[in-house]
Amino acid sequence: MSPTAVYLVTIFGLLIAVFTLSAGLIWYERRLLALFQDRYGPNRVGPFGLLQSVADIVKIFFKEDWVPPFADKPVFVIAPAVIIVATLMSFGVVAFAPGVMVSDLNVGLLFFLAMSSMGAYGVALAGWSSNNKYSLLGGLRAAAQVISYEVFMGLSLMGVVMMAGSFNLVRIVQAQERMWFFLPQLVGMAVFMVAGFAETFRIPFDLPEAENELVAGFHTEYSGMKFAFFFLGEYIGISLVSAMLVILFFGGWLGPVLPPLAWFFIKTFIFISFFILVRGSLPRPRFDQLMAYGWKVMLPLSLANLVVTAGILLWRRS
Amino acid sequence: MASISVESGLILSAVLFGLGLIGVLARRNILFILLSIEIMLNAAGLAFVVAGSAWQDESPTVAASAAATEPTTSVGGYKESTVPQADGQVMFFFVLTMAAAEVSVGLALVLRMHSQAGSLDADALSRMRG
Amino acid sequence: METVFYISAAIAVLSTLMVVTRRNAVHALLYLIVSLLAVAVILFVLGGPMVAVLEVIVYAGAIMVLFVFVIIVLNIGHEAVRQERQWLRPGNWIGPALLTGVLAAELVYILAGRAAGVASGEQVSPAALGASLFGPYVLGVEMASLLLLAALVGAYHLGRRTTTRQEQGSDGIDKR
Repeated sequence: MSPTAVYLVTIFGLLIAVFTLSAGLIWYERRLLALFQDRYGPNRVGPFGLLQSVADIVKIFFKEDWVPPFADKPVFVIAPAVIIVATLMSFGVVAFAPGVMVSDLNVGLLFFLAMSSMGAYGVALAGWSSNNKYSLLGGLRAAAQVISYEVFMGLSLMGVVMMAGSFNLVRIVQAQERMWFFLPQLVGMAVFMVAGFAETFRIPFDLPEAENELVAGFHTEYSGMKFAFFFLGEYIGISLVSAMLVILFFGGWLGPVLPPLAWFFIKTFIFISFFILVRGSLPRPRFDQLMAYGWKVMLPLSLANLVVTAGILLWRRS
Repeated sequence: MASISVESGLILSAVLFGLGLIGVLARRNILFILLSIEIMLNAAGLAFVVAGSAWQDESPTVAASAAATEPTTSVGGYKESTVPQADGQVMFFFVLTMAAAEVSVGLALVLRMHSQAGSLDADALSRMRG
Repeated sequence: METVFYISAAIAVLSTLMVVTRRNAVHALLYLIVSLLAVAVILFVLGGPMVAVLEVIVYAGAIMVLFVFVIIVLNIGHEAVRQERQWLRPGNWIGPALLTGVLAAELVYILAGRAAGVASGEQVSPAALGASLFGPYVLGVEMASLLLLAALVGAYHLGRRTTTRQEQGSDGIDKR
């Protein structure tokens, strides 16, 4: 096959894999949550309810595609697309296994950060364009939350960058051959994980859509496929953050016996399950608590991590 | 790699800068004035990068002599003479920092103005009151 | 690569034009984001992957989100659009456009003759950029950090209290 064909196959394979995986994740999350809470979860459609997501998709396709008359129409329509596009773009630089990636960008890690900051627009603009008080509050919260937690997300990764000496994700994985970075960068990993929850608006940090104060927050007015885009975007976001966690701190595709791709998916799957477990166990804080936690705990922690890592690296070199 | 004439790059940044200037002069809403200032800053940064990209190509000797006169730049296994000059991009970096600082103060002022004058009209603050 | 440059240049100019002429602040902002992304692509083509990504993270990702935040806080909707329509008469554009047009024509005239040369598009690696920043330009970095600190203090001070018009005389001004 020519390089172009390989390229196209990688891109389409990735797209299909990400979409099916995210749809499957919806079923997985519901089953797992049901397990934690001692109930059954979806078990009617297909074996073990496996086809539940398919049924949901069919249902959502046939729903009326309604745009509220008071909404700002162009922005209202663009907003869900922004989320999906931004998260899918990030997958372009994810290094699954040696050679299995779309683009081996030399600033791959920064590209991931850039795209995750683009994703914030989807939520903030959805809240604004819905022209509804609850949505507006949700969008406001989303904007504030993303601006704050992006800072710690970037800072927490700089320790890894210093140890690997590169922004390139392949180089970062290769640098972990002797030791996975989660041991020396434990603080960085913790901060990144918390920031990852905040960036994907998952449960301890799902204040933009907090259902018992804001109805459904930024997507109150959305229905049909547009709502499905938000829903799918959340799960693609979870997969993305889990994949980045694996690449940056848990050695990416590295592992004995099994092929590299298998290792990558096993590790990613563990973190996805962790995301769901957290959803099943943690309550939601107040918004001021969220902000205080970010700026008073996360920021000093990630800065201290940065300084200590830099100091140790310099001391070792001299 | 790409071979884009410096002219076209600089003309692009000039056009962007001009559009921003029109925005600053014609709009009355302070938010739009701030946005236009952002456009102008960004165009200036682009001009720096274009110029930097052209300059490094012309004069490898300058790069080599810079390496000779400034020994501090060759730390960490980084060799000045073989690597393209980064000066234009460094200036872009500073422009970026300045834009961030400018916007944070500017938007704080906008919020303040909205609460005190009750309007985003740039002319609303023309009267002095003790 | 040249075609990429020209396409994104066209996008940048068109969307910037839209930014300047829109009445709705959020629409203008969206166009500005598009313009910034186009400029980021141009920067990438010109050999600055690091600055291109920084443009997206800092400009499009942080500064513009700040704008969105302020627009949501101010909650300006249809009212503001109506007011813009009042402020933004076609006549307002003539003066600035004429002056800027002359200025731009002069610039183009100067640039077209003198600035010969080709932008190489050779990539400047992040390491090279960092070595430059903390080598010959270290003073600039320090000054930039001071500037950011000043901005932080300034923004905090300005946004600390939203004094209403009644409180203003007794509290707002004297303590500054």
